Amino acid sequence: MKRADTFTSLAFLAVGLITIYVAAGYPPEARLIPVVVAAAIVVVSAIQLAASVVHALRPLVSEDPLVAFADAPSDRRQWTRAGVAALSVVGLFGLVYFVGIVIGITVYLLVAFWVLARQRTLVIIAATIVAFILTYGMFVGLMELPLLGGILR
Amino acid sequence: MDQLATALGHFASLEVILMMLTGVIAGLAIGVVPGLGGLATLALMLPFAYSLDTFPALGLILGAYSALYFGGSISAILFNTPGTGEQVITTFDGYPMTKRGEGPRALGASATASAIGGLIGAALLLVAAPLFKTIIVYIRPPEMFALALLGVATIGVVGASSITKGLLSGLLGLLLSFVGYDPITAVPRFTGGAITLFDGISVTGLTLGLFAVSEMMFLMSRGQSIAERGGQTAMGVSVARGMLQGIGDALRNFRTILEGGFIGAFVGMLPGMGGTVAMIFSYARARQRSTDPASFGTGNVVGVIAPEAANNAKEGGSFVPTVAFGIPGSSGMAIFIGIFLILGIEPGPTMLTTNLHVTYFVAIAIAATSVIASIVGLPLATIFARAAYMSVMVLGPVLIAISFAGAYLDTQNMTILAVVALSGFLGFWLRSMGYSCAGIILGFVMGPLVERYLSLSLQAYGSDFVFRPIVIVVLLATLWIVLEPYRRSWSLKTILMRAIERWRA
Repeated sequence: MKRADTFTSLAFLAVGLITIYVAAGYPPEARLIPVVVAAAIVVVSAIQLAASVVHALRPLVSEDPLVAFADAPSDRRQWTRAGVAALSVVGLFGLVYFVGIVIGITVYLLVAFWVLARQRTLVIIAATIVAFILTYGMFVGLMELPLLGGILR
Repeated sequence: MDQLATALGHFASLEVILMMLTGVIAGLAIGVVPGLGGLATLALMLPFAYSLDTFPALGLILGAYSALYFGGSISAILFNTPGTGEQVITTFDGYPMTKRGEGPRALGASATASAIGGLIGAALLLVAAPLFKTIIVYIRPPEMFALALLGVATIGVVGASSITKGLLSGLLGLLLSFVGYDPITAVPRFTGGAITLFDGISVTGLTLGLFAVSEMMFLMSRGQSIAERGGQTAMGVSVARGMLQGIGDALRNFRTILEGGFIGAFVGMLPGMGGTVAMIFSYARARQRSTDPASFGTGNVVGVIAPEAANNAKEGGSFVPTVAFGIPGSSGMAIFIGIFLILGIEPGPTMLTTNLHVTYFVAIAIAATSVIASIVGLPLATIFARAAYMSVMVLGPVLIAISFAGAYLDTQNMTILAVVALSGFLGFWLRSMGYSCAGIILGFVMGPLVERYLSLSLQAYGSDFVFRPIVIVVLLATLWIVLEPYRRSWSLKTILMRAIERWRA
């Protein structure tokens, strides 16, 4: 977890430096505050990085490791489940991109109930039909919104 | 008085009443599901605000927000699993009462205390708003800039596991707010050439991702069920009689409710102080006053009444700095600032002048929805409580799909869905590492204000604006908030203790 924490500090440092580099191309009024904020990110993330290497600097961060990572998944199984959840989000995004929002959400819930929740077939079919009716009803019936058709249409 | 009459007039609309009821039922249903929390609920409600007019939208969201806490009390009392993290104090006496078969009594007492607590918080907001009107004339752009910095520092520092992580969270939020057209020069910044980002990152997409999607990822990572089965959920012989007994208990302990309500309302006004602090203070005060303090923690009904009154009252209190200065009193208020902006209302001084009727509407809606939540929540308590047994593998995908659908309602393009997904991953990762998602969203909503007020201050006063008395006081307070934890760790006593330990080793 400590390595991941150091990597996160490095990522913040990179974000700060890239922001300063990109902002240099803007007019002075437009870059003033972004550069100040990015510089602050560089300084604070550098302090975090230094504290992770130099023991004497740790009070600068004043962090209790037990509190710091209390929310993090605690073992490999939990990380795997988190990965599955992340994949399901990517899957939903991909489905919406390819087949549109109504079909995408319906297919996503069908697959999620089948693979992740392992529900009975009847429950899966019923939930899928309800999801389709609700999504279509909300977007088309209630909101009269233009639907994303997806690139396959 | 005209503004108060205008605010009351909005409650004559059937749409406002219906939306408040819908919000209350949604808030109760979501509140009983442990882990979802207030921030995720607000995030899930956000997209629906778009399709409604200002006041029905505010009614919907305030209804959900007020009801959420009583929803959380239901699972805290019946399953020993607080619906929102703050309500762990309610479990101390609520769950032992359930184990004795007095669950309905505890629910009745909690509902009454919550409703009266909500009324006290709303009353404070109603009274405080006109008082702040006299102060607000001294608040100019330099002071607003300093107050905005104070807000970012407070919530950022309080919400994360360390000061540096809190600051980085707030700063990242500020950075994200700079994406899109610069308000002063109209130059598109940090868009990478993507036209859909010219108007900036959607606050709806970012909030849904950071709170709803990341929360679902946490829940799904932890396992199959939310509340463990096998917990004692006995409701006792007569549910209705028990609930009435609880209501009677609450009314008999009216002084405890009043004290808890005032403690909650005042703690809520202090930026960064959470509901847990208010509930602990109230619980401790009730225990101190009790003739039988030893019974606290074993199922004393006063141990349910005191924290519940404080928890609901703090919401009205936390609106005071939000509407007066645009500075959120809590993490939830950071999202509320986003909601106000979406609805075209600028939080801050205008809410005490031209938009004072909105502030009054908020106060009255908090009072009304707190009472409605208790009335509607009691008969529905046992039905909603079953949601806590739902598998997260069912609930997670459904709420992720709702987040995507909700975000789509905002701008109807793929960019916002990408924002939801990416900020969901970002929120999951950063929270795992001890950063604060509330800090990010706070920085994000405060970013445009910081930029605008700094620009106005520089134009009007030059760099001398930092020497204005109120600015000096607020900037010193900001510095104190950031440096105080260091002062503690670098105090002479701590340094000596550290040296002695090293010498011993």
